[in-house]
Formats: sequence, structure tokens, C-alpha cells
Amino acid sequence: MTVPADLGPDVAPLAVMTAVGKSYGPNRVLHDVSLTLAPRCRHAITGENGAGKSTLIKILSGGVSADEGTVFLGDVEVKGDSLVARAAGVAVVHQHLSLVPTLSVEENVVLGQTPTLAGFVSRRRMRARAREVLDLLGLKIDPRTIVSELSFAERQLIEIGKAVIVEPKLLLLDEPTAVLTPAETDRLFALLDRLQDERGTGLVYISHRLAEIYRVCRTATVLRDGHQIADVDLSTTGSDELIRHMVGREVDLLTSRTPVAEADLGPVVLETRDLRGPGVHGLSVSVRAGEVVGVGGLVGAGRSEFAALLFGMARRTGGEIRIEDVPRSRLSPAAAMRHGVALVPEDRHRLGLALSLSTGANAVAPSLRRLSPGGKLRRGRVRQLAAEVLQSADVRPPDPTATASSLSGGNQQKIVLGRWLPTTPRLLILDEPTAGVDIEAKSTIHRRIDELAREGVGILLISSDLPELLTMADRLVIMREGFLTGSLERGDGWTEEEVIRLATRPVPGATEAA
Amino acid sequence: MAAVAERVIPGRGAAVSTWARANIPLVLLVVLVVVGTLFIDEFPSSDNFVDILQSQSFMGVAAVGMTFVVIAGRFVDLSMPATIAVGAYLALSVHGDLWGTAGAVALLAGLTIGLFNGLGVAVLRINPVIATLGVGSIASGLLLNKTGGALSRSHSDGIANLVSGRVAGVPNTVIILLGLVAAGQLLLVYTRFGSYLRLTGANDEAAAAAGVPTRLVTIVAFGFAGVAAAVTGIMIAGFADQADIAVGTGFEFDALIAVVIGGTPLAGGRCSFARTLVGVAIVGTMNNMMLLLGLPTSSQLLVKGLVFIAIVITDRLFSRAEV
Repeated sequence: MTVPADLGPDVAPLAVMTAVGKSYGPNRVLHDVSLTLAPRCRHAITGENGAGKSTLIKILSGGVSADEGTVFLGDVEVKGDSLVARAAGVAVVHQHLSLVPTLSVEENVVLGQTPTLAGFVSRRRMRARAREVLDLLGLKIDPRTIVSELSFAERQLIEIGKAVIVEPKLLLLDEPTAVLTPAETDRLFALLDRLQDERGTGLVYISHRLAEIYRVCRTATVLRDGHQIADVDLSTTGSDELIRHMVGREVDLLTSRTPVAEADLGPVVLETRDLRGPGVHGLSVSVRAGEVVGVGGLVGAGRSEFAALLFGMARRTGGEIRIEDVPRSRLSPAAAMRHGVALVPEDRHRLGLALSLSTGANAVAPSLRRLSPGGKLRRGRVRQLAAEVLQSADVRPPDPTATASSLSGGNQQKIVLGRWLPTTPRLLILDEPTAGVDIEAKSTIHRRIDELAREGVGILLISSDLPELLTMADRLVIMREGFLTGSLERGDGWTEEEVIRLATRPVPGATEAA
Repeated sequence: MAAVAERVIPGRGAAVSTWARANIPLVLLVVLVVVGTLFIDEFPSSDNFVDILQSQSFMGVAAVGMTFVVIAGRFVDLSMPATIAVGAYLALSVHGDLWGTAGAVALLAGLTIGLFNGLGVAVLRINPVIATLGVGSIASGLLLNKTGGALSRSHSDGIANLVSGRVAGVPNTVIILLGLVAAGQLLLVYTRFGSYLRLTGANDEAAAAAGVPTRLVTIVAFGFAGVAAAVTGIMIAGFADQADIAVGTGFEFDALIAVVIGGTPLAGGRCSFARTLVGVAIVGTMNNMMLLLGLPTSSQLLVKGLVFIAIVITDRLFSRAEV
């Protein structure tokens, strides 16, 4: 289990983890993982969701302590003490943003080490520090801006800047590009290159996006179910092999999909005319039965807001929503459901699942009305339906009594999608249905989308995953800042470049430099 | 054989320990009863057990109401003391044989206060602590204005007879408590409303996105809490034959403590009315034992506070391990 690194015999490693194990209650999340990180390393930790990647990073940075094994940074042992790790030169960019939304950029940047002068906060030094971070990232933001006013991409970049500014010897990045645009991602990678060239910073990069791993890293450790499956040299290991290590077998990911022929499409199930609401400025979109209409755009383009309007979770301020050719002026989620609309929301944890309840309770939630004629719950049918949903959605384990929070993100998402099917929706709105799920769940979800379209369900697919949009959708509409900036048909120009061009096109009435 | 036995015994042990972890409050209650039986002579008698239940039945009924609010994820109903006082006054306000009407009016008043709480929380989106404090203050103000704070005495025996009566040696107040616990539990387990209540409490946004009418559920939950508090008020009025404006003081905290000691987490998820009953029994047993041991009130409060915090911490340690 040695990492192939250009580690000479005399060079002391930055970090050594030996036979590390970790359990949360009865769940063992890491088994016997050993890792040696050389100075100037570019090491990827990869694996599916739930493989133990984030836990490994937390142990390395002292956020949690290992149950077994040792972690040394140089000659300092880290025993679940993040201050020790920080002092030893480790900085982390976490997957979940750790900025305080109600504080300003400058206050966040210095959080935990606020510069003081005779016991008083030195605003001047704080601002200077913040400017340093912003310059490094090429961000043109006033350091006094309150963080909640920034886009998610900007927040993520500041998070990275905050980690970099302390000049760490070892920088750990946990899925840092999830909310970044391609251009911002490129800028981040250039920054990482510069850090390594100028300061010799060691990089540990967690991601399940293979293209990024190959771009940033030279070596990789693959985890699966908490086990260290392989340590590979990326220059000699192809992505097929890497995927095989990650999932343990070949995964048959849908690479092309044939849309339902236009002649076979059913009537229009959804039509919006000049629809307006919070974050949405005049959208006219239609979806026919059997059609998959993709909605492209950057994070913050107003796509989730559009979905919220269609599902009655936000108040329409103008325009029209017609469902199956009937104008629906007063929608609530319950009313939308009655009209045959279902929504798989982007934020699985906030809007999707009641995590403290059982998977079974979550699986039957949208069907409760049907299962309780006269208000009395038909408990037998509830149990039966829960088992059916978990079975047909391929949730692992298919145990209706398991707590929802104990499932991996991919399996949670299978429930969020699968539980709508017994309600036989005629319009299915999917908002980033495969964000943060593993390849296997993604494959399952893609196949299910295709099946549903063939059964005549109209599907509105919101996704930031461009290959997914181009594979799954019949046609695309592209949004920016709440406006429609274009549409694409399959054929010429059915490319990622074209989607990005439309997604970054100036919106009506906006004046901005290219 | 030996190998088989070795495999079976740890398995059974693990199952027992899992059960015990999930039912810490019940285990604690059993321990309390065993300790009391062994070390306090006056403790283990059926009269004493009935006493314990009867003394806690007033608070217990309020705790049943509080359980609805906690399961719905709305933390607490701080208007309960006011609702109890309103209920008690109205129950005592009628002369002659109209005591049934008086009781109904008292319940209706409790329901109204509860609905106002629910509207404030669900529709106006006011924090439950603030909303129920405000509504409670308004209710107290109205009551004070109406009565001038005077002690109200009974003019009719109807309610007193109902509350102080016994069936087969069991006090009616205990029967009322057990009946409400059973009704709550049936509602929770066997009705659509029960499922909606749990979903709303566990994650109201996700529940709404699955078509659950979360506002209505919240309003109804507070409505039940208001009715339960009014029942407590009626019971106190009937038992004591009098009531003043402060008659409900402290009930909101005792009720919340019983709910939490019973193991219903403030964050939703695991929940049941049976747990609340266990919580009520623990509080009652503890009080009773301390009384029998002759502990001064100061020590009683101290012990109660320590046990409350200890059980919440223990519970969280174990439930975190399950995640």
C-alpha cells in the first residue's frame, strides 16, 4: 500500500496515515487505510458517495479522530485535533460551505484569526488580508459585502481563498468544483498549479469527477465502502480502470438516448406563457407527453426558482401556467400533485427527505392521501407500497425501517425520485437529479427517466451536468438570471460549447462587458 | 454446541442493548421503581402508585397536548399557563346544572387559543416561542380584565364530582390522562393526520414538497395543545373547587420536561404519546420518592434539573451513535 510518489529516500513525507479505521456507531466507514503524502504531492482520493472520502479528509485534518491507526503530519501526531493539524500546515476546503452567511467577506476570511491591535479588531489589517485573498482569486468584490449576497460560486471561491491564504503545506480540497462554472473551475485549477509551483504546496483532491482528477492529480487512492481498493499512478491508469475500482464492476452508463419520435409524442402537458415570479422573468416553455425538455444554465440562473413556481412552492406574479391545457392560477404543492405534477428537488436534504424518519415513511409520503381513505391509514397498504417503492427504485438496502439519514446520497435520491412513480405523474420536474450521486445511482436514474418518457410522462430536466443534458434531453432551453437566453434542438450545435455560450449570453436589458 | 451458544448469546445481548438504548426512559422508570421498592418502605403500595399517577395527571394531560406541538417540530406551547387558567375560570363560571356547557365553553376557549397560536406560527411564520408567549399574554390579559384577578370559587358540583370520582379505585383524572394518551397514540399511528404530523415535524419543507398541508397540520397540533391545556384547567378547577389567575404557572415547563424525558426529541423523528406517559411517570415517581425521603424543595428542584439534563445528554449520545 505505498503510494507511487516521487519520494526520494531522504525526503520526509508531509503526512503518513497508518492502518486508520473509523466507525460511526455500528457503521464502519473506514477500514485499515494507509496513505503517505510526499511534499508537492498531487493526490486524488476518489470513490463513490459513501465510500469514506470525506471521513478520511476529516481524520487527516483533525476534524474527527480515528478509532484505529495513527496519523502523523511530519512528526506531529494528529489525534482528532484540528488546531494541531492547522499548526502543522494543513488547510481544508470543505464540501459544505463553512462561511458565515451573515458576516462580511473580510470578517469571514479572517474568521478564527481575527487580527487585533491592543485587543481591538484591526479593520485595516482585516481588509488588507481580504483584498489579498480576492486578488489571488481574481474576484472583483468589495470585501465589506455580506456573504449571503454572493453567488454560491463566489462563496466557494472565497472558501478556497481562505484556505490558501494561510500558506498551507498541505491543501485538502473536498469536491471544490460542485458549484463552479467551467471558467471558474479552470481558474481554480490554474491557482492550484501556481500554488504548487511557487510555494510547493501539496494537494489532496477529493472528487468523483474523473476529468478533474486527471487534470489536477498524478496519483490516486480509490476507496470503496471504506476499504482502500487501489493506489494508482494516473499517468498509467485509464478512467475505465478507475471506475472499475470505484464501483467494483463495470457500470453501463447511458451514453446516448433516442428521444421518443415526434409523431409519437402526446399532447402538451405543460405550457408556461411569459411566466414571472421570484427570480423568473417571463418564461415561455412547453413540454409534451413523452418529451424530455432539458433546462440548462449556470448555478443561479433561476432554474430551481422556475421549478418552484411550477410546483406551487413560490408565488407567481405574472404570466400563465397551463397544465394539460388548463390554466392553473393558484398552485400549491398539493394542488400541483392533484394536477399530475411531481418535483424532485435539487436540495435533497432540505426539500427532499425527512432524514430522521424511516425510508419507508419517506417513500410513501406523496401517496399518503391515496392510502388513507377517510383519514384512516391503511397500514398494510402503506407497508406494501413502501416495500415496492424501495424495491423498484433499487434502493440499497431495501429496508423500509432504516433511518433515511443512514443511506448514501445516491440511495436517498433514488427514493426521492422513485416515490413519485406510484402517484403516476404526467409531468415530472427533475432538478439536478444526479447531483452528488454515485455513478451507479446515476445510471439507474437515467434509465428510469428514459423509461418514464417512453411511458408518456412529460419531463422537465434541470441539470448543470452538460453531458447529462445532452444525452438525456430531446431539446434544451437555456436560462440566465431568470430569462430565457436560447433553445437548442438536437443536430448541429448540440454541444457543450453552445450550451455554455447561450448560458453566458447577455440577458435582455443587461449591459455588461464580455 | 458451544460455538452455537457463543454466537447466540452475544446476538441476544446486542438486541437487548439496542432495545435498551432506544428505550432509555422506560429503563430509567423501571430502575426508579425497583430502587424505590427496595429502599423506601412506603413506596411500593398500590395506593402510592395511584397517588403518583393522580398527582401527575393534571400536568400529564397538558403534556399530551405539548407532545402534539413537539412532534410537529414547533418546540413548545408557552401559552399553556394562560390556557389552563382560562379553562379553569370558565369551568367554574357557571351556576347550577349547566356544568356540561361550562366544560364545553372551556374546551372551546382552549381550542381558540390554540388556533391563534397555530395561525401565528404557521401562517404569520412567527417563532413558536414568541407566538405562544404573545398569545398567552393576551389571553391572560383578557382573563385578568374580566375577573380582576379575583379567586373564583365553584358554584356547582358537577365538574367536581366528575374530576374527583373514581372507577374501580382508579381516579377519573388518571382515566382521562390514559384516555388522551391512547387517543393521541391512535391518531399518530393509524391516521393520515398522524403521518402528516411526523413528516411536518421531521422536515416541514420536505413535507410540503411531498404535498403535506404543513400549515394546517401545525394549526391543528396547536389546537390540540390548547384543548389539552383547557382540560387540565377544568380538572384543576374541579379538583380544587377554585382557581386563580396563576393556577397554570409552571405547567408548560413541567409538561415539556415530561415530553423530553419521555424521549420525544425536539427535532422530530422518534415520537409517541406512550413515551410522554413514561416521561410523566418518571417525573411523578421521582417527585414521590423525594417527598417520601423528606428532601427539601430546594434539593428536589436540583435533582429534577440534573436528571432532566442527564437524560437528554444520554439520549443524544446514544442516538448520535446510530446515525
